[in-house]
Amino acid sequence: MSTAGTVPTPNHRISTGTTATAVGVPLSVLAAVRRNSWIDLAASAIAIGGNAFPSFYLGVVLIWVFSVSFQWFPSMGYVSPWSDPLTGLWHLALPALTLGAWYVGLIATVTRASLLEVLSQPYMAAARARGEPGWRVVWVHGMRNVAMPLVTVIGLQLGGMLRGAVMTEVVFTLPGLGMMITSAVQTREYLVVQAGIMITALLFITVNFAVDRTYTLLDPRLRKHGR
Amino acid sequence: MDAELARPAPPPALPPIARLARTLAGAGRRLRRQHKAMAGGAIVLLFVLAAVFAPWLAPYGPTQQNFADAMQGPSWAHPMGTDSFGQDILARTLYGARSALWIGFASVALGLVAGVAVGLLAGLRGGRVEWALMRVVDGLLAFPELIMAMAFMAVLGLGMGNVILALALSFVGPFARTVRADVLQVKARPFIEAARLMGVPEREVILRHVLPNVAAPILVQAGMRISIAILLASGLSFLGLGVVPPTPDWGLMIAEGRGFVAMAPWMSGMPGLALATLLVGLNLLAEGLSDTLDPRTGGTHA
Repeated sequence: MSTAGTVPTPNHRISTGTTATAVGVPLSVLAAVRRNSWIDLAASAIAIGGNAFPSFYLGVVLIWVFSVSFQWFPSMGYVSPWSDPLTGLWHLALPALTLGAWYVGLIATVTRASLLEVLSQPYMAAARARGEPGWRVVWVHGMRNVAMPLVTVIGLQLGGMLRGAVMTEVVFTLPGLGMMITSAVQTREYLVVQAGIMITALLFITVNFAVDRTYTLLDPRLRKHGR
Repeated sequence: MDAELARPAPPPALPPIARLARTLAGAGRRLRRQHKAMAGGAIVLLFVLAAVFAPWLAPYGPTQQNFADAMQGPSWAHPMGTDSFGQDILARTLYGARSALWIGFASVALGLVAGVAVGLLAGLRGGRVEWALMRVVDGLLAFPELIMAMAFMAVLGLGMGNVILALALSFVGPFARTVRADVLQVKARPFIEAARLMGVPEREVILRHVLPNVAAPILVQAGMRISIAILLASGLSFLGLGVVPPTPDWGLMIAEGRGFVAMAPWMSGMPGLALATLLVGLNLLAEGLSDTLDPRTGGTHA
């Protein structure tokens, strides 16, 4: 179990991370540009809801709605998307949705707040005055400056992401790292606990390091006085 | 507080009326921002009242079993239904507010005290002490909170006291780091040097001059931590690594209900709703407070 346990966690997390970013960023850009419109309201609702519904509870609710009532998705089990892509993704849909709700909320909140700040900067007005189209002003001039705080928050919230992943795995009985540590603690297999925690810490440190490195890629001003 | 220091001084040429108008506009903005804190505070107050008066509000005992009435849907006799042991879910949810709030406040308070002590010591002493302490803190911060709390639970064993201890230990790192960073800033200010030069005793300098100046951001952080603590505590009990089963605890109730989603969705639905509402309230309160208390973030939220 201890060797087989680690595969689904990255799969699951990558699918969640990509989906969440793909949904969260455009949503919040719309929310910031059309401030106080219904899109803005919906984005804040998702943000507050995703923040408040702990993943283990959201998971149970989603199982109730989509597995029990509608019977659209399986409520548990894991099929590797590598060996059987369709069934695999079908099994990952609810877990990814569970973990993603929180992440979409987080990404949307940060993007909206920093984009609002960036939009009020003089260089945005200057870009508009030069006659650049609106989408270019927002996506090229605006998002470039939003990227920094966004990456920071994604990095800082990795702990929350891992927390959600552990809970989600247990709710949907996915055989991942979190499930492994949980059952090892329950059965007092201290060696497995140690190994699991070490792997998590290593992952945590590596991602934080990668986030630090990203800053110089995103902001040319930091490159000159690079450490 | 250091509001005057953080803000640039107003230009002196401003006529008094304009200055008054500006102050009033600022106060108005602050009041409007407090709506969030007020709404959050009302929700939290409701839960505190429910926790305090649980014995009088609850229609049954929280662990009173009645197998004849097991897994009943919401009705007049059992407004939130019953679980698989025939325990009343309303009663258990009300008592669950007690354990959630108690774990939240106690673990944050413990972690706060220890973290502030470590941060103050590291920031004020400097040198080798600081280096050693901060490396330990770095080590603590290398682990995500839940994973660290799980590790401590594995070592300490189950039970509410151990949940509080495990969470408090996992909060020491973040608190210590924030306090140290603020202490380093405050330490460099002229008034600390002035106090030292005037011969104010070290203890006095720390208590009267350093601590009040680092208090606001730490308290804001503590407020935000309480909701994280409650989330983590219920997560731990959901995983079966927290408080032990007969205790009325939301995480445990959600875990118990997970197996019965098809037959009795209220079993995990009701306590989960309570948990989510409390978390929304705490987050709103903390956000509102940080907007008002922390001059640095004061302007960003509109």
